Amino acid sequence: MAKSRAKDSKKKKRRPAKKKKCFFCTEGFVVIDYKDMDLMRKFCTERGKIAPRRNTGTCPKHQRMLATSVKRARHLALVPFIKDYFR
Amino acid sequence: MNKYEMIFVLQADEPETEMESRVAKVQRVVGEHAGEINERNHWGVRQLAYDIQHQTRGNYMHLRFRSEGDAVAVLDTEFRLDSKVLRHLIVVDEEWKERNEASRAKRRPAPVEEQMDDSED
Repeated sequence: MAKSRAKDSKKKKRRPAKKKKCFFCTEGFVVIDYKDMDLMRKFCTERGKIAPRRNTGTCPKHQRMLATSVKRARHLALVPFIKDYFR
Repeated sequence: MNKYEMIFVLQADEPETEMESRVAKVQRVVGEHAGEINERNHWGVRQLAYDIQHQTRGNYMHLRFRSEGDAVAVLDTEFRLDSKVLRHLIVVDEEWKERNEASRAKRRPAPVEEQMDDSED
């Protein structure tokens, strides 16, 4: 009895995660510069992939701009396509 | 007449005269299309994020220019055929810095000085 109640209370405690705000909206970015390497790295995973919106909280409009910028930066070898890793 | 932005990466072991000749080439082509180079930023030799043609370093040049649109196709062909240029990119200049700074200034008007309150205490 007691055990099941404890389980129930544990379940109830779980709340949906707070919605993250778009970094570019809060900082007032109109356009995203592909030459800004630190910014490009910030929105990439450790392996160099473009980070998904669900992790960064970027809004759709800025995520589209960001994707284009990262791809341009990759072309110019400013950021890597894939980061090498050690096994 | 449009604004464009161009970055190209030259092999790092080439002398600077090679870089100058590429810039002169851009200047010539842009000049032929009733334009001019407005800004020139030489980033210098940088480490590449990945190897290109067995090279680990590249000499970067960033140019901003105004010209007719036809110049872009000509420049693109010229740089694609150039074996000493590792990478090049020509895009419409969206004036990233200027526009972002303008939008930020709009959002956050200049802070009002609040020294009066301190002096009263």
